[in-house]
Amino acid sequence: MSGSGPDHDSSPRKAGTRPFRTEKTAARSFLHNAPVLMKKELRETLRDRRTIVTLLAMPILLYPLLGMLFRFVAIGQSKSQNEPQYIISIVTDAEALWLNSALEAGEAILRENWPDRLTAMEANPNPDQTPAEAVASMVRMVKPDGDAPDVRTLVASMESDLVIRVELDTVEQQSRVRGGKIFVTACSDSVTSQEALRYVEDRIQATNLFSLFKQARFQNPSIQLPVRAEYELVASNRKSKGFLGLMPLVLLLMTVTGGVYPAIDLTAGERERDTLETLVALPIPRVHLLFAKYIAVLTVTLMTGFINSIAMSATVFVLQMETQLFGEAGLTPTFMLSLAVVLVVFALFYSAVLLAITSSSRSFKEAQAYLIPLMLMSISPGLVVLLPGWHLEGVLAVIPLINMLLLAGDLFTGTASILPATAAVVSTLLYAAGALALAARLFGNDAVATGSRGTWSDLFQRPPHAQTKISPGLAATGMAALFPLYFFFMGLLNRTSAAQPEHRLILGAVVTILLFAVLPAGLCLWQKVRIQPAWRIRAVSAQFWVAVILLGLGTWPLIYELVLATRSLGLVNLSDSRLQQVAEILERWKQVPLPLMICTLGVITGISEEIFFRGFLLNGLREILRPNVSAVVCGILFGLFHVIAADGATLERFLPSAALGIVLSWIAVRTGSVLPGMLMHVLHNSSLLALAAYQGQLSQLMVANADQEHLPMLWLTGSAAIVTGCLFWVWRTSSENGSSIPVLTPIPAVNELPK
Amino acid sequence: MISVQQLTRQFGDGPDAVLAVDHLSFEVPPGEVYGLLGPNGAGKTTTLRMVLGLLTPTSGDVEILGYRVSEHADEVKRQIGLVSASAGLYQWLTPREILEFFAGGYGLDPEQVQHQVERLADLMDLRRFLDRRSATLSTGQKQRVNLARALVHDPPVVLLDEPTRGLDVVGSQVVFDFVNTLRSEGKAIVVCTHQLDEAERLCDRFGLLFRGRLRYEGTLQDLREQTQRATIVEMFLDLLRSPQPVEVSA
Repeated sequence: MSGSGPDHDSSPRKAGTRPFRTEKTAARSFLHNAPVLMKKELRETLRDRRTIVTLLAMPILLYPLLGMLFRFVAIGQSKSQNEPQYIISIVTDAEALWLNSALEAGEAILRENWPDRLTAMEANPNPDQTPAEAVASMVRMVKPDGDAPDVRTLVASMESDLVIRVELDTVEQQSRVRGGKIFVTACSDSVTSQEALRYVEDRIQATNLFSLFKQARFQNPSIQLPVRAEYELVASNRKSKGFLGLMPLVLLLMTVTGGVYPAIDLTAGERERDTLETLVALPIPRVHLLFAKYIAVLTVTLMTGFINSIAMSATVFVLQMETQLFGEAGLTPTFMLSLAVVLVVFALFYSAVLLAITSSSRSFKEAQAYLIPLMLMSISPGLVVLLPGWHLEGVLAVIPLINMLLLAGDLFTGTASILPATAAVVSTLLYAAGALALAARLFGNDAVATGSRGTWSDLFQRPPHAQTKISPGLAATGMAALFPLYFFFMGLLNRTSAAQPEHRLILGAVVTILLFAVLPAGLCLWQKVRIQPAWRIRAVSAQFWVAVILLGLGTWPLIYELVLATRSLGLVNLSDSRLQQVAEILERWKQVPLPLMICTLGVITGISEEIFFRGFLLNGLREILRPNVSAVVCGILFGLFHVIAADGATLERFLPSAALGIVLSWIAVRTGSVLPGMLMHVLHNSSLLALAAYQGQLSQLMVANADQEHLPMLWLTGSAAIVTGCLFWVWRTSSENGSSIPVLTPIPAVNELPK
Repeated sequence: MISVQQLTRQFGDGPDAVLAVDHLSFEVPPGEVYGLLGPNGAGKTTTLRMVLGLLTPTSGDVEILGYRVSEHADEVKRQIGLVSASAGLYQWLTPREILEFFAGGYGLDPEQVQHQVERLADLMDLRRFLDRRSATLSTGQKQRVNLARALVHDPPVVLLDEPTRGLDVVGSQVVFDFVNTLRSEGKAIVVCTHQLDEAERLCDRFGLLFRGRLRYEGTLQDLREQTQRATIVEMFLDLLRSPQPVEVSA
């Protein structure tokens, strides 16, 4: 028995011993394996009564209970509104009688002359209520024990909101009330005490002012107050959104609850039941096994979320609480749609995170221990974003969890804007991909299967042998890390906006090298991936170089027209102020020498982005997708990155960037090397920079007319001819797997090696 | 059919390193039952996991029908049926659903799946509980489902890891009958066990594994001549008392 290939004739075999002729699993895509795997996962999950309890019983019981509780609290609040709000201690009956008449007089004066000074609570909607009844509804006077009570203690212990002592005047005054002096003791730490104080002050001042004004007008009928004011009270829309503000958090907890049990059961549960070994012994890639589990967890999570939403809506509808909970509009289709969007994105993200955590656990208990901190971590930012002033903007749009909570909040209040929302959704999906890659790495690995070693340490374990290919998981990890790091470094760079433009360009170039070249190189070194073969750094024949030089120099007119087309479609979302800001930046950059611009934004950016997108990401994608599909996906990701992450990001950048990205990826696929794309990218960027620098001169030559937005037809035709011709040339002279890939000689078997 | 070549597996590095399997080589032709015997911790299960491609060897390789596990791991998995005493069943699925799942996982088309389920239901006497939830089955019934699961893709190679552990006399007899059937079908079989008396009844040839190394290999007659002992139990007791490693002699 020798050689590395199959040796079916090496030994006689009886009938019935030959295995079934089955399609090679290596060639089987996930779509082939999915029906079998998902059927098993869903059957196993949905038949489990614990899942059903979480899925159905919890919402059916929880929401009516919550609704009843809410009603009970509401009724309790309305009952308390019928009782006096403030308790005032007063020692003698005479003092109480006088204070009552003084407050009633003040109340009457306020109502007649300054009704806008009354608070919502004081302005009783009942028009038949007398001032005496109004005071009685707000104030309850009590007599403290003893003849000489300790007034400070009474207030400090909050037994009374105020203690008032009265010294009555002996001389009768021309006023609605007999004169007197009051001594008020209030508590500085009690909001109610302070409100009671304001209530008494307002009425006494009204009485005094009215009395003075009456006396003065008696002397001079035309007298007026020197300052007259009118007040308007408007309810705040920022301080509290009530239950609506709490909705993102409730939604999050609902969604997470559904996924927790299936995630544990389908990963740690496989280990605990000793079914993992037979499962990973199947000729199916582990990433397929894990993805089927992800779909199962996602399905249950989504079902839980939707069933909870239905139960919540039904409870709210039956108890007629729509306006109380969701504002004037109540439960609208838009609101329900927003709810569904948030649920789906939450579910996509959380299912992946849950699987990443539970995949490293060897038992239910261990998985539960890991998930408790996750739940706490989920609740904390949920509470933080309820505070006023938090909106989905800037770096918050890419912070996991917080971005989705803020997006949920903004969607509910109808204030979500497209760009940060897109950033939040795309970054969340990338984090989900990263978490899935992590889970695939942990699930069923050597240590977990054998139980011989730790688990999380294996995550950082380097493979024993050198690799020549980038795994999809490594590519996803790199992409997921790129987004937050880019935002972080660009945020830092923006703080240095006062610096010279030259310095900013150089710093930007350093960041570009770090993120787009050093980051993937570091990840490859960590995983023992040999960079040259993995990134496909290979020499190609001269014809490809000629083609990419022409493409690099000749593509810009088409890209420029694509930008104009995007604008004409109305896909521009920059505000006028932001456009002004971008124009100022561009104006400042005109002072920078062109060679420096070309070096930083042309050469360094071109080479670095090619390293990341075509050398690292594309080759990772090619491990799971067909070459042309990988090129399209890589191009779209390249476009999305420029939409979301670029300084001054706009949607109008997507189509041109994605188109350029697809062409660059396709060139890398067809030539089998990352190098031609690098040259094309550098030439494309540099030609755009040179054109921008010499725009004035070119306008004079009628090449780029400032008044005429579109380029001359001759230029466009020439560009289209160059691009079409070159792409056709590359297509004709290459294959789908790259024409310059050398034919590998098979490694001889051990027993075939020369002795 | 099975060729294990200088298989070695070390766990950990430095002073804590454990050499679980140390340059192990053996071959199993079709129709032979090979007993890989050894006390607990001898490296039997680690060897089986490397043969299956679940564990990467530190060095060495395994060939199954000419497919190297280091290069064609999935093809190797397709040729092997695994029976493990510790293997559990999916408690919410019925034996029929479990067999259908594994048959589909090995890439059988729906017609083949149904044919195999019916054949194994008769062969392993599963009819009475084929559509009952697995959680309700007895230990013996579960083991029969496990044996059927290993054969669902009709593999030419079968690995059995402690197949009679936890079974009573009747259950063990089912396993013996199972192994005899496989032998008569010309399958290459490796049985790992530390129940040496049972191994004597089951196996055609033996490899005595101790601290990761193959100490003796051959038929029972060969081993008796080499060790001057009548039973495998006595041979092992000698090994356990021996301070020095004994070189393989076959």
